Amino acid sequence: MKLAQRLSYHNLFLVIGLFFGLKMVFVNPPWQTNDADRHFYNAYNLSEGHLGPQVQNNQCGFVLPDRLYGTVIEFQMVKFSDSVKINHDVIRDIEDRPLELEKTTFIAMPNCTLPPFPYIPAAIMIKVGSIFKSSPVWLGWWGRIGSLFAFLAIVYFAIKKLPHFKPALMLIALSPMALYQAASVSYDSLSFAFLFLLFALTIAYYFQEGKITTRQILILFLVAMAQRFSKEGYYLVFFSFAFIPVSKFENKKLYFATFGLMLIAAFLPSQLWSMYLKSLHLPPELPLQKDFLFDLSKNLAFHLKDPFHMIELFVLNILSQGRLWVHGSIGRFGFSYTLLPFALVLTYIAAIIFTVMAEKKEKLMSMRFRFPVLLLVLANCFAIVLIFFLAITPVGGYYIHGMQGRYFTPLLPFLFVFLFYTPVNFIQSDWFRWAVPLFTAIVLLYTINFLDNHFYYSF
Amino acid sequence: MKNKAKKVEERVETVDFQRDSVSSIPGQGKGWKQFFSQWALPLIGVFLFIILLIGSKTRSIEHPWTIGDLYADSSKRIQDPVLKKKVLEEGGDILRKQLAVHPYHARVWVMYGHYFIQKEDWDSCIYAEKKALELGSGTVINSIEEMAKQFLNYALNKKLEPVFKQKEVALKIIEDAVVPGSTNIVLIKYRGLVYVNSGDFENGKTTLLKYLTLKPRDPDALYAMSLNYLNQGMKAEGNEYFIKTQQVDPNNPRNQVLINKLNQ
Repeated sequence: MKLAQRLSYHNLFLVIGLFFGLKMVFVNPPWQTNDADRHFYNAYNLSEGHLGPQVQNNQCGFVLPDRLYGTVIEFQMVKFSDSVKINHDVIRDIEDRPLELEKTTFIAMPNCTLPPFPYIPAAIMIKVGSIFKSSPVWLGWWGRIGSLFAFLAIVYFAIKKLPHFKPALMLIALSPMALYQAASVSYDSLSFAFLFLLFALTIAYYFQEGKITTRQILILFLVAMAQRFSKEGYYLVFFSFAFIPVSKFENKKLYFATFGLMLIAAFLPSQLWSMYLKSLHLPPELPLQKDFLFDLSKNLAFHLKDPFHMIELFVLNILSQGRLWVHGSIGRFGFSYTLLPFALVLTYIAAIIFTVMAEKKEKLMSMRFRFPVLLLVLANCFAIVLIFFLAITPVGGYYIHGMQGRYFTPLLPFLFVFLFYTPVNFIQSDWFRWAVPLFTAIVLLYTINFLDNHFYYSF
Repeated sequence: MKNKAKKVEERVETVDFQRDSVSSIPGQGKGWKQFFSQWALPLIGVFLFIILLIGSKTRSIEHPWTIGDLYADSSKRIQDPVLKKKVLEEGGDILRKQLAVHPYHARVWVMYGHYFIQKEDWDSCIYAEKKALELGSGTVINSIEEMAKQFLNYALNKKLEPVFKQKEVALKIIEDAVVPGSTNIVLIKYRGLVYVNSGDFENGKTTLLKYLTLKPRDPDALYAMSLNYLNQGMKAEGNEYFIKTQQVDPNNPRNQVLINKLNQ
């Protein structure tokens, strides 16, 4: 194999992703991503062979080893700052703390009815890893490693499959935020990976010489299903295929059948899971939050009394929180209080834009494809914000709650490629092949150092 | 019929393909058309991006109830009594109107209780915080419980101050502050203090001991236990709790009362 082949983008992605991803696993203090505790309990429950939650005393939850629950609790709500950090010794001390599987307690838990699919890689790795080390902290790390491996494998194939924009996808998939989420026990890991793969397939099908076959559409359908089983909120982008010219499909029937399959992918997974939960006759789940009333229909009814004010609030929220969302799409860590320097985030975004623009245009992407897909992706972004405005914000509230930039991270390949593509070749030399991996590695090196300084005492 | 449909289909596909090809060739058309086809979307992208970056400088956005709470809270720092009252009432008015529309928000009830603390209206504060606890107790994240209990207990203490020695009245006030389904252990302490102050030494002892098993370093309860024993003439036990009081709250001037009783 030639050196150039060995150093192709997908191989470089794997090497850089594996090295810095594993660094992320250990530099991020235990259970320090958003909702990390509950995601981890779901993964642990699955690793114990339970598909859904367990029930005791008419409550839903998980049976957990006391040591595991106690250790997770120790790491919750640590308010990291310049003066509040974790000592590396603390981690070293509890690294070998025995799990004591015989002492368990049932813990009623919100979010215990989440679909198990996105936790499969973490659960497998928890089970396998516990053969070697089974302390609570190590179980958390094994889970992260499992998620990371799955993310890297899927995105590796996505980059390999892409005929164009490989460096752009590499930059986005190795952005500090994407890799941080990938190296966590969370549904984001698989959700990000499958959306990146969906992007790759859409581009690949658009550019391919031959006709799009039934087999290829089935692959697209499975990827969309897997994404939808992982996380909701992104199914509008499933329909990007619709703007590939009909003539590129084997026949028209296949084109229209794809619509049907995407509709199934968009709605069937949630229906299947809720049917399964109903069959279990579970008691009501513990509420996560009761300080406000959150109710989509009541909120919608309230805002529709004055729709112009609703639109005004929506726009004002985008304006006032937009910068934070941009920031969060590239680098916002821990419980969302730890932000990478904004200058670095801007540089990273500029690098992605430049990479998209500098792509050598061997084949051209038409405006008739780009523009509607871009509108679809923007509509998906708006839909995410709107659902947070109506369902996650208190009834009658003005300020959108809980909205974070990382929700846009898996849509970045679509946004950047379809927005900043220009049919002009303005970089002819090959230096670019080296610049992207080098830049990514430097930014990740900085990020690891930044996280280490932020979360841990240096002595 | 079938042939006709097939021909139409072929024509649609051909036109579709041609349009696609035409629009994809750069340099088709001249001047603005070419510029538009190449740069329109990137420029729109840059424009949207700039709007997002500078948008946060335009105007901040707050929930209406947060503004009410800000008014009520900021009135604490105003010296002029007329202005202070005006700002406080403005905050209270906003919160009242918000609760009329959204009576289901526990956090807004907490804010309303906070407003009544500024107003020194203890009964209304207790009512508001009880409503908050009824609505918002027993959750995992963003819980209002601790804050609501703090405000409730503060108002309750203020309300009890003049009647601590009137056992029946004081116990009735404490009973009225109980929220079913929400545990407020400070109420146990208040009951103990009422017993001690009203001379019911035995109930005072058992109630405070129950509280001290939950909060062993609470200075009020340790002080009251010492006082309870000393009032009964049990100096050894009184001294034991005096020492504990001194350990957790050494600089409190009220400890002199215990010293005086021990020296009697």
